[in-house]
Amino acid sequence: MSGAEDYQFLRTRHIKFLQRCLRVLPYSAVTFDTSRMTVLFFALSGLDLLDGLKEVEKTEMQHIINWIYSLQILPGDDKDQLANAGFRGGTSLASCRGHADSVSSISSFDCGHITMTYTALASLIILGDDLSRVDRKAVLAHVASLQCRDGSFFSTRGGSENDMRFMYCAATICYILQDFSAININTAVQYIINSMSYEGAMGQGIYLESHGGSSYCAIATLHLMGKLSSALSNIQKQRLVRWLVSRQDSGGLQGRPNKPPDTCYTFWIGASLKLLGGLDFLNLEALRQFVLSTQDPITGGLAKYPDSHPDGLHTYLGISGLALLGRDCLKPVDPALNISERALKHLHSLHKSSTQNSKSTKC
Amino acid sequence: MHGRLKIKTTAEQAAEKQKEREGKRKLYLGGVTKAFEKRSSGTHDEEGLKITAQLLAANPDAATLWNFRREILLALKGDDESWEKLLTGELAMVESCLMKNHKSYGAWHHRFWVMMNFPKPPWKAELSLCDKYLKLDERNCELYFFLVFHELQTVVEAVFTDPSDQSPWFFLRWLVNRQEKVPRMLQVGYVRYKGDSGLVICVFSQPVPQRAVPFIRLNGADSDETLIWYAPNDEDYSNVWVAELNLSSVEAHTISLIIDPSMTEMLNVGEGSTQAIEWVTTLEVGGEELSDTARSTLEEVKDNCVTLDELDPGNKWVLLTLVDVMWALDCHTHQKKIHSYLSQLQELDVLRNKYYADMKSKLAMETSLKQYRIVAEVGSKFELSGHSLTRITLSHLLASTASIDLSRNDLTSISPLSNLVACRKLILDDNQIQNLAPLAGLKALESLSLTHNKIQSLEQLKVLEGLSALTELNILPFQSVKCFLDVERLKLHLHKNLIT
Repeated sequence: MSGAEDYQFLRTRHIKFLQRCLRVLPYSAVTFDTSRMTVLFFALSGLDLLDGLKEVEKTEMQHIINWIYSLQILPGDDKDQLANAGFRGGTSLASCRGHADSVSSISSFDCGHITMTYTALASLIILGDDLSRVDRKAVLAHVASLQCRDGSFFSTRGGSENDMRFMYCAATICYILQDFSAININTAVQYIINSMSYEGAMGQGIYLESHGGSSYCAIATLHLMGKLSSALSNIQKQRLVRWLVSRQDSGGLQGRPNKPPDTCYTFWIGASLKLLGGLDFLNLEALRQFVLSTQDPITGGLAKYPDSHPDGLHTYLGISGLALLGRDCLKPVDPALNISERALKHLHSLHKSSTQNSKSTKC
Repeated sequence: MHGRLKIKTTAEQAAEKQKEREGKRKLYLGGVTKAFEKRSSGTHDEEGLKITAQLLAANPDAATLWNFRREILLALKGDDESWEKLLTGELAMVESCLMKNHKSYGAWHHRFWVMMNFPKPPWKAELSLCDKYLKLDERNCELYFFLVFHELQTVVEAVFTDPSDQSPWFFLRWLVNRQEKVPRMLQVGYVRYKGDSGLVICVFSQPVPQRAVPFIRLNGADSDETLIWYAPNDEDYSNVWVAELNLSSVEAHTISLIIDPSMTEMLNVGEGSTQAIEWVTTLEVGGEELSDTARSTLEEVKDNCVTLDELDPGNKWVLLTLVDVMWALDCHTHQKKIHSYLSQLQELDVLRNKYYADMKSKLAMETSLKQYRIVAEVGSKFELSGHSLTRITLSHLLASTASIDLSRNDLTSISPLSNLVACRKLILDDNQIQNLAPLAGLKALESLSLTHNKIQSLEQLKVLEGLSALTELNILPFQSVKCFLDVERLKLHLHKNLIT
């Protein structure tokens, strides 16, 4: 496609694409089975922003909610197993049968994954669930057990790398469950500060290259903890904004200097700038045209680059990136939790009613 | 005449110093000659180490001597244990050289070589040493990072070889920027807005929490006043902290702020409707003063960039760096040049047009505020109209100002104006303002002018309900509506004017 044309947003095609993601995934996606929860989140949140959730049957929604809960690991009364809690990414490692009941973990390999826990909770919120079946104590214990001494987080008890991505997941879980006592905020903030390099933005960890994804995770974490204005000095914020703004390269946004622009950074970089008050420093129309150029006009969905194969992640992040710009009839999105503002409102109403309940039980 | 010290004349002192220098020079040259003799004869021994140590202590920048020293060390290398001992001693020697000149390239380079030669390098201790030097002067990390990752020459070369590659410019720019140090209290003010009611205002250089506000005593009292401080933006961290304080308007008062055990700031408040400002510090708007080494480094970078701009005109990175360097040196003196570079950048780098417009606003505000600060009279006026401002920065510096004029600009968001707690007259005509909510807390406001903006409905004016001092409101072109702030009556007045 030549650059002179103006691209149109193919709303109905993307809805179809995401609906297919909800129902069945192609064989090539089998390697994602352990992260199926994230694919579910992309599909649900994408449909939400496209105002396509209303086309999903109520029964199907309930079915999905049950499926999510079936992936929750319930350690029951076993205190030692408490830290093995959280949500699984998919059924491949689970020893559960059936959808309605969860079975407690019988293998040390079957443990929760922090990203799956975040996307599970977010998906439940999007579907309007009240989180009453979430074992809060277990989930928070799972989060607490994953924090390292340097402030960063592992993803799972089974062992993994520790970096900024899982810090963000930890922060979202605590925000959703309204309880930050599970994490050491001071060391977490210190880890974020330490990961700021000479470039002005954040890497996955200390001494590592500044990156759009890790910068988003760090900034959103600080925002969710209520520390964004106090943890960073004015100069740090200025440098950060400048690094982020410099990521726009001929329309699209790149993840690091000298890399080609990639659709998903529309959200990572866009949301970071939104949280820092600098989103309108980008040339929003040029950005939009780039994102639209990565659409697949036949199957729907968005890809990493123009003329590539679309996938769930890039479809969702491209859409939520566009939602930040407030165009194309997309529902507004919350930059910190990466869910629609409608879903966030539902979460806040849950928060309100739970504080009211706790107040009334205090007498 | 007994007991009086004999004070030498300047001429005598100069002569003495000269003699001292001559002596030192002779010793130094003697040492150097001996060292070179040893080197050319291939003699690598303890004495060589001793001599070079003395010479390098005096002049750590003598690269050849460091080279010779490394040759000697390698020649004396024995088993692991003795080698480690030798290298540890070497670290101590370099440290003593660094005490003399912590910016010595040769010393740092040698230190790096020593570290790399350790069988088991003591990185932990090394990093804490770097930390120590960083605290003394952050410029030092440039040296260490150069050695560990790049050499300064390599960076500058990279930049000259391919000026369009982004990465080395970020590194260079990082060297150029100054760090803010601890937050400082800038200003204290008092404004009486109605009768005896007034506000005490404390302004800081950075956002601080409420506990940073100093204690206050009135009129020489022995105990502190209990005040309830709040931030105009309702956040936990703010540059401006305000408290209600009623002081009788028929007499003068003195407010004392106990900033620390050794420092108390006094503010004299007159009678009647008054406005008092006291600048606590005399430091610059942008940050702390530059050290000599920082200034000379910046000048060097500036000259390199000016050369590069001549060789390769229209290069965005060169221009951006020049903007940063000149701003860091003195945004006021270089204002015109910075402004013209920013205009060039807006044309060259169209994608970031709005970002540069924002920088222009910041430049205009910073330089004007610097001027204002220098010329400050009590309760004076600040005016910056017709400057295409897209954004207001450093509004906390206007927290105690009585009259502010920001008309004929391109302002959309006025949230920083919530800091203008002492403002009596605010002129915002000819902008793009829609949302008036930030003005809701401006208790002292008497006259507000908002003609030619983008206010969609009279509903917006509801936020002004709480402003008990407001008597004059201009929102329609060419019309001035004098009223008491009763919203219904206000609407009636305005409606009348619309009809006419």
